[in-house]
Amino acid sequence: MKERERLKERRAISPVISVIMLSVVVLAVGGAIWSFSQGAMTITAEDYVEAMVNMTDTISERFIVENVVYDTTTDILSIWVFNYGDVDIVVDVYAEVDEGESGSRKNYEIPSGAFKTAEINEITLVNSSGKEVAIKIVSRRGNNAFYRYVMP
Amino acid sequence: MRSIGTLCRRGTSTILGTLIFVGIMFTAVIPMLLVMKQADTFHEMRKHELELLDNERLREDLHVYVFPTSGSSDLTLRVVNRGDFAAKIVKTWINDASYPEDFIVPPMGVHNKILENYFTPVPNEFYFIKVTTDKGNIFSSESGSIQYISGDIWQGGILKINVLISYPPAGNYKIDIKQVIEMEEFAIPGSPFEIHKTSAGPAFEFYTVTASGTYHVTITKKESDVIYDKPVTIDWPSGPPVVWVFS
Repeated sequence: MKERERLKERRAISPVISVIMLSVVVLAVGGAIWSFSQGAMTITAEDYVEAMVNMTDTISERFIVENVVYDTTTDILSIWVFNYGDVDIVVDVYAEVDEGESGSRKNYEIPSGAFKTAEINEITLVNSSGKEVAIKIVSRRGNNAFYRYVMP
Repeated sequence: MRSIGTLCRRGTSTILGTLIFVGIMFTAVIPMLLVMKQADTFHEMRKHELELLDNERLREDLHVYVFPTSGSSDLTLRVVNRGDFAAKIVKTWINDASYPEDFIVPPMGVHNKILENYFTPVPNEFYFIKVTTDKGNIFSSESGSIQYISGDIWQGGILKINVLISYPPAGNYKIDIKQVIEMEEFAIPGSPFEIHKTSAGPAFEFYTVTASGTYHVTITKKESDVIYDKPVTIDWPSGPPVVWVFS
């Protein structure tokens, strides 16, 4: 009987403790989810913004082959690439003679509004005179510019 | 007593859960969506700007002429802008050498520039000039290659009259070109010429002439009225070897 009374007394305290404990657990779990959500959402938003900025840079690229000349004294094919876009670019230059020799130069960094000259010396006049050369400029963001030149 | 305790517990966690949910929505999800929307807006704006830029680039319409500067061995570069937008010239090419430029030609405007101290002409050497605009267009000299002889004498330049019929309706047009020498008019070989304009676009033709001077150009729509009747003058070598007739 005494034992039953004692148990009754203990039962009176448990609702308060359980409410406090439940609140603490809810707050702790909720806080953790909140913190995780904020971090995850921030990272997701940053990744999305970065992807959009990269995509914007990709569509903003504008460049052309301004001039091509083959110097018969030095056997060098010079290719002028003009970046008239708003973003700096890195390009690779490829030249391929119709059914003949080919050459390439890589990693030309061209700031916005500037031009660079790529000099290719793998193409010789002996094997390529009078033939057409297909010139392709490929940017690191995946844009291309094309040009055709007839060897002297 | 037991039922009151259960209700109390349920109420507390519901309120706390709702508060946390609302907190997450307002501090994480909504800002993320706003940032993403802003990035999308920026991307769309840039796309629109680039479309306009590409459109302006397509509509750039420059005519470049090169002719000797009287009294010196220098050449004069003339840039005529027949486009709708101002054109900024950023580079002049003389054969395979480029020279930075920074001048603007307003729409329907003309800019003359003496290519002084750009290069020393070599006798019997041919020179071909072109210009690059800031929008990435390259316009070559319509005068063609020009050959330096000596002193202030240059040779070359194809003398021609370019005829562009843009606005009149489609049909056949008769073009009569007569050289004017001391008030008398002499038809050039082959004149009158005939040109057909389709409804799809303008008609263009060029007519080479052998001497500079004044030419009387008459354009008549076949079995209809005269649409152009004016003299044009080729000033070569003190001016471009090409004149345009626009109608």
